[in-house]
Amino acid sequence: MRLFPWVLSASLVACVGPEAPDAAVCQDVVKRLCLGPICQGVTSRLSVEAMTCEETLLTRTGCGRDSFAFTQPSRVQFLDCRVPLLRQGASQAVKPSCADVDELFLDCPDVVRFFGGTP
Amino acid sequence: MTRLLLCLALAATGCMRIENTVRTERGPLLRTFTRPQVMPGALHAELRVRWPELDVQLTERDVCRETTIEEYAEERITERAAPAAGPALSTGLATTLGAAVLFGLSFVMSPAPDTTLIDTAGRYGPSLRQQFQGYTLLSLGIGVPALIVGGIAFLRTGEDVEQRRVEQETSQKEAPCNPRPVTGTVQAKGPRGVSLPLPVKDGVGLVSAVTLPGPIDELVLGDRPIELDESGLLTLGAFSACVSLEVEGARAPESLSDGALVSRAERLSNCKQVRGDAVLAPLEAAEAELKKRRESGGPGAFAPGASVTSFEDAVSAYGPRLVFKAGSADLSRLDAPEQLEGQAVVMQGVVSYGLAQNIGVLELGGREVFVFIPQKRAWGGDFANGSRVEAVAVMAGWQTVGEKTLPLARLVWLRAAY
Repeated sequence: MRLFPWVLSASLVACVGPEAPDAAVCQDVVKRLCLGPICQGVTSRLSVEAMTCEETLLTRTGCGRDSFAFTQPSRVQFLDCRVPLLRQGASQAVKPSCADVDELFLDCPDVVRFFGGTP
Repeated sequence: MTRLLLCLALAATGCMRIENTVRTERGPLLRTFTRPQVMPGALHAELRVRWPELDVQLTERDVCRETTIEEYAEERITERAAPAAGPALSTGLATTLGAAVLFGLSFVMSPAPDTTLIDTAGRYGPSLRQQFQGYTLLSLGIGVPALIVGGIAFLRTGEDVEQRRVEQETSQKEAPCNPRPVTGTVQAKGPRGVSLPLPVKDGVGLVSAVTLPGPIDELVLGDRPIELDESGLLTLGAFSACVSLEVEGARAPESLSDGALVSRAERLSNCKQVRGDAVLAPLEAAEAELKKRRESGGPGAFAPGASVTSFEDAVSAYGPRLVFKAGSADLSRLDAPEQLEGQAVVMQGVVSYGLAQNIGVLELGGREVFVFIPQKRAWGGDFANGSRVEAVAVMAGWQTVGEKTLPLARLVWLRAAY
């Protein structure tokens, strides 16, 4: 009988891997925002150019470093704001829709500020 | 939780149909024996006539039955089969083995998480090892319950053999036994409501013809009938005929109608079997008169009234008041022809068939009547079967020819009708 919770836990664990570090989470969002063709909202609100979007944002946020850790916004808040970007697919190769990007900017001014933009 | 799982497993096995087949196989013959049985029997009487008395020997006899019985060994085999047990077991085995293989292969797979995916909770995608182990659990989830259900169903299959002994009756013999005399009051009953109590002591009783008001044809004790064998029936019939003649008294044969004469001659002949020569003279007289009437033939010799020369003449001379034809109300009078003896009638019907040279049958509106045809008749012509005729006749009671008993009419005149 003691096996039952173990089996249940094992089943759940089989569906997910280990927690991703803050730097990986941040880089994931940057990649999704900068996938071409880049949305108008990204260039206008974050003041970046399409060709240098990813380098610019990694530099501004500092999450290009492995030692990066979220402060403001927090990791939890950042993950919540990231949710609209996953609607088109969890893979990083899938570009989010511009409406989802605009939703992120609208709902999460802290994230816009984190990326060096204007909310 | 354990109990819940156990209950679920048992409930799942309940869904599996178990087919029961029962067959019986007969084994060898064990023994043959007879089983005696005594059943209540019947009352039996033996009769002997010592005129004017009838001796009655009354006995009660049981029926002894002997049944031959063969005893066999027999096996009653109940077979239980679960057609779905095999597929369930094989499915369970295959998926459980598959789970084992997947689990083994999982250790060959990379334990590194899928870094190309980060879910909404911020976690990487599962490693290949994790995925294989997940499939292992999935296979086990299907295979283990199938193994349990199939295993329990398989354990419930099999056969039960019940051995027992069976009896088969092969023959049966019955015979009267334990004869014992009876004491009581026997009722001697007759066809005209005659009922005379007859005391019987130790199986012996006596009936005197002097005390009997009429013939008897049945003996009963309480509500139990008394059986008579063939000779007893003949003896009782002969004794009753004698009693009937005694009640009737001496009659001159010439004074009797045809029906009454025939009846008396029959009773005399029957009575002769027990009284012998004592009734020989009246029997011979009756038979002589019968012979005379058969041979004389002329209507005037048999019936009141004059000889006639035509149908109209016969109607005029005999004055018939009854008409027997289809739809006639008078036809019901043929139920009691003894009450019509000597009465002239007109008959219209069809010749049914001739039984003898001097007797035939007329069919009158669904009823049949014997007609006596005198040898010296005044009318001419032949009347084939099926021909329509009308006749003037005189009724003469009942007549028995062979197995047929019908009203008898002596023809006065017969002619074709259209």
